Amino acid sequence: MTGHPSIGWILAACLAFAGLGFLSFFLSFGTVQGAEEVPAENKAVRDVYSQAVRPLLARYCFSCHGEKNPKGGLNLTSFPDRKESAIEPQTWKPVWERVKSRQMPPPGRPQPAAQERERLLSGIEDVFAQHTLDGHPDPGPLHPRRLNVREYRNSLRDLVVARSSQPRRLTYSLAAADGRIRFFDSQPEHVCAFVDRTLPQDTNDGGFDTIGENLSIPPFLMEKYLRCTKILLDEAFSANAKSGGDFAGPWQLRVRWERIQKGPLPKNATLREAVAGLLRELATSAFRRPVTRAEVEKYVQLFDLAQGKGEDFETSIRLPIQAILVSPRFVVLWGDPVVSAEGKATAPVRPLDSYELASRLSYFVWSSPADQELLRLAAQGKLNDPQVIEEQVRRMLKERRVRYGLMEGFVYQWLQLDKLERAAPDAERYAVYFQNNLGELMKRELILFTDTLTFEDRSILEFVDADWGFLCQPLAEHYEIANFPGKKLRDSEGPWYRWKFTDKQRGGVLTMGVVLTGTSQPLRTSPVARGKWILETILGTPPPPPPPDVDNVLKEEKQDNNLTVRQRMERHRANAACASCHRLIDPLGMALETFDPIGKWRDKDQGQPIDASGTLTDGVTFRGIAELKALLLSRKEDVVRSFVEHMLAYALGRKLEYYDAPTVTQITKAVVQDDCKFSRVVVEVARSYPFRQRRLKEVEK
Amino acid sequence: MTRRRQISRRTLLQGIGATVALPWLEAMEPSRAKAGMAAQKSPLRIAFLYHPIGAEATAWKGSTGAGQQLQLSPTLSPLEPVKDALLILDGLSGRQHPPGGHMGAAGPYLSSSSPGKTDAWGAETGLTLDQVLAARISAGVRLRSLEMSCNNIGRNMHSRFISWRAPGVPLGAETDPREIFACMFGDPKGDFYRRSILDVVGEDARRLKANLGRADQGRLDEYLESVRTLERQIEGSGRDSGKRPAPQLAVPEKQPQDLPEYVKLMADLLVLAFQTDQTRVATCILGDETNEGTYARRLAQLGIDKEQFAGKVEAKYLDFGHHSCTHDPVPTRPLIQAYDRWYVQRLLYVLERLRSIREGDGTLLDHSVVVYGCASGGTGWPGHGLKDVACLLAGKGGGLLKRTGRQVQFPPGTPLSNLWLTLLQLAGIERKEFGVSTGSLSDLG
Repeated sequence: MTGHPSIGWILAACLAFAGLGFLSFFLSFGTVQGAEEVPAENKAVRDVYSQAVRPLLARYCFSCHGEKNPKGGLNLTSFPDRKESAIEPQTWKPVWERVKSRQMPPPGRPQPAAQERERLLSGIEDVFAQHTLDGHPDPGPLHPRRLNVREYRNSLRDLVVARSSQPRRLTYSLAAADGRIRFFDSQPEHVCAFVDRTLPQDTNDGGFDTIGENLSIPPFLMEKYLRCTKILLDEAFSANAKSGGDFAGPWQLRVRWERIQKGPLPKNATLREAVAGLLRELATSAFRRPVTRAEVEKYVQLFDLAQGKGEDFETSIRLPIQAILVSPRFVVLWGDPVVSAEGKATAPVRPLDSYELASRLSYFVWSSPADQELLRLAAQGKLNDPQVIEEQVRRMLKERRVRYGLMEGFVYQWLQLDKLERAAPDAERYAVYFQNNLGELMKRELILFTDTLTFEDRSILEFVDADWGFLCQPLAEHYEIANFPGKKLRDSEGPWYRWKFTDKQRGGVLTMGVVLTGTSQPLRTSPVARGKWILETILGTPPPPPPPDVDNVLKEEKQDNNLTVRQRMERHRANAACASCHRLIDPLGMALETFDPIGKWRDKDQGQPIDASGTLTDGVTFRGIAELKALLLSRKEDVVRSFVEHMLAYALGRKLEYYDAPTVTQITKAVVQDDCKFSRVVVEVARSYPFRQRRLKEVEK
Repeated sequence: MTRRRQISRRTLLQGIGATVALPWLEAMEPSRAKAGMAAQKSPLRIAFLYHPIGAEATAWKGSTGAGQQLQLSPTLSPLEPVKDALLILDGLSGRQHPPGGHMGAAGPYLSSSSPGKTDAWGAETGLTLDQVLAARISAGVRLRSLEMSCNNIGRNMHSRFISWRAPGVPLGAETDPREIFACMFGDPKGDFYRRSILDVVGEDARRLKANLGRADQGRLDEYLESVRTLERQIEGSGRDSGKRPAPQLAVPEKQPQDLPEYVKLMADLLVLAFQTDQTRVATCILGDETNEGTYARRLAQLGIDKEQFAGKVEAKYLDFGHHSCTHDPVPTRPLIQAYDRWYVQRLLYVLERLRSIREGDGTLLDHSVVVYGCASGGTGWPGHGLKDVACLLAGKGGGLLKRTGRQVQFPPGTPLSNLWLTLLQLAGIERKEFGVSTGSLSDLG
């Protein structure tokens, strides 16, 4: 292969990427070759295109997206005329997305057979794979970003507080045979919860709070960092942390400085040297790479400064510790590459160095800094071995830190728990929801379920349907579960049980109260919100936002009062502008109509029997929750792919791009081959190409 | 268990009130003169005190009349001694609660954000009224504004303070009385050390930046800007620190174990801040607005005698926290009302302290406006309705509010934002709208 794009390619790519600013990149990089020359590898792709892709386009797409009056301005016939156009990833992306989500071809038009669709999609994905940076696949940008609030909070915890005092990996422990939960610690307050109250909140635009673009540093943040670390040290120095006899309290850092303070110091060591040693250890963990004696010197000088002013030991050691915990080397990720002078590097892509990789793993799985073992492996240069990565990820998944890492960070954000929690059922009509604290209990149900699924490393398809779950008496009553053994206690929900469901009415997240309630309006269900939630989380094909001129609120006119939700929806879809998307969204939501706005089973709506049937755009029909679950499971690859895409975006800290498609496909295959196990997804994401590489050359915006 | 640990970790001050009740006024006169105020004319002060969890309407409402004939409702009855200073405003409605309900209501309480414009958590937060006022009336004094909170538990930022800088960006609030004291009377040593820390980390940032490609330097630039911002701030506060008289403060040994002590301390500090003209705008949440059952304060922790409810309330409810009661409102109504009355008694304490301090031609209360209320409650229990929330003003604001000592009824549905807009206008800030306002209130001045 030549490794250089031809001029024709460059022009095509420039046209396609003008908006992204690829122009400057190609001009600065490509060694321009003859216009007619077509690189051999691309020729192969072109052949695949003309043999496999184009005939399908001709059969199913050209009738609308032809030369005359192409719908949506998309003329697919023009592509092969300019041969280079066949590899414009940007142009192909919407085609690929629409075909994949079965929005295209539209209903009423001839539909490709399953294999044909598959062939079309993989043909387009081959095109995506052709996008390279000077012959290297593009791992995407990895710009420095600040730690998000969750990561800063977890990092402080791990640097200062002993691990033994953290909550366990599982939120509960199970009593033996009857499935009764012995101990359930649903929402312990994070030992560094003050961080959430002190720093400005992060957004999770783009799905996750790890999206680097969102994590800028506002001018007043330094003041907040100092305030946070002051609270932290106040806590560590408070009388309370002192008490506790030989249980030295959770504040391990305090234990260490007290050892220095009380002595005896190690042989031949001065107080200053001992302090320097402590600070160097702390800085190495906080800065995520070994810190030299010289680098730590200026921090030690802060200690000297206070000592010189006659301060006591505690006041003096607070200064350098506080400085380390607000240093840019701590609060900014990816800003400290060991390869110095990156600006002058010539390769467009480089592998992460060992310490970057250690941090990337630990911030992915734990949302906190690498531990001793990861740092040791990094020092030995072993972390780049895919086998070692797999071992490490499996070890990390068993750790306590996963709870505020991958669980809170990935699982809850993927399921949009923050939005679901905003449910506001009508207080009068659904008084029972408030009286029994159902909102909180439903959230716990989800936490217990996701905890177990990930801890037992079960199939991620169980998110869609499982024959087990967790219940307590008020929930069991709400869900109308017969023979539930638990009893409600006077001021609590009573014991929880791991419960085996005998039918498809419950099981999996779709039928959980928190999802059904969180996607409802105060007084009625919303098939739109429910359908949208399924499309976004489970299927990974979010519907496009409504056009700007559409009044997004259903008109609830007076005479409409007796309409069922289905009738409302149908009226709404009578409008062609709405119908094009809502025929994708609504049917999925309609299948959940047998659940009322607080997730209780119902057979009637407005006194009329419920019709929970729907037809998807490709003509597949289904009725009710059981068939919806079966339908989703029959599209196993789509469900897995969606999960993989979400986790990859979370791990990479950016929205996915077309050049990530090959990675996603590769991981999806591996996951399906391993029975869709949760851990397989995490392992494969951690071993993936973009996770372990860094783009150096900037594609200017 | 968790709660006790939370509280006891903090070193709280005790008895500031007793040690600082000194004649500050004379000491502060020069600084006021410096700020360009006529020596005779006392400046306007405004405090916003937030009543947590909403007030139960049947007992809060029902005040009638004016002047000597002003009859106070049961909940407001503790205010009898200061009733001539009150403006009881009925009929006002709060802003939309954030998703998750009233426990996040404090976030949007004073917000200027337009309707429906929310932060990442769906709460309509934004620059708050106190901050808009502070920009004008605190000009020239040491602290632009003072944010305090007696709610130091839980993670929900929308329930812990009422001052916000922008959507999603809390100003936060100080919960530690000692910090507030240091903030008012300066901390030169602390400033020196903070500056030393900034020197070290600024050097780190510059070194990192030099090692990065151009496109990767942006975040480090932002970091450095943040360092400079704080440096400027420290410099500014250091300039006049020598001129400030610091009250002698007996270092407290014991910490307040319960809310009554805690609120009293915070109230003393607030009055002290106004008295010494450290700031002219303050906000304070008086207790915990939370649904976290184990955290909600119980009768005993507020020092409310359980015996008085014998026969009126079923025994099992006597251990309910404030919040739990409000979601089981019918059988617990007398308890909710007792909680509400307790908070009103804290208000009485603040008002009486303000009135006990002579200033210029009147008392400190005469020159202040104390806004007291909440963003939920009203009618529509259970569920903490938005309509007809608790709201009252106290003090004459240096003549801005001439006819105090009466109850005023507004048409149902009048937004609280209309009151905020009116306060801005009274303070001389020209605005046509604020938050979800529909106009200003005509019957206040």
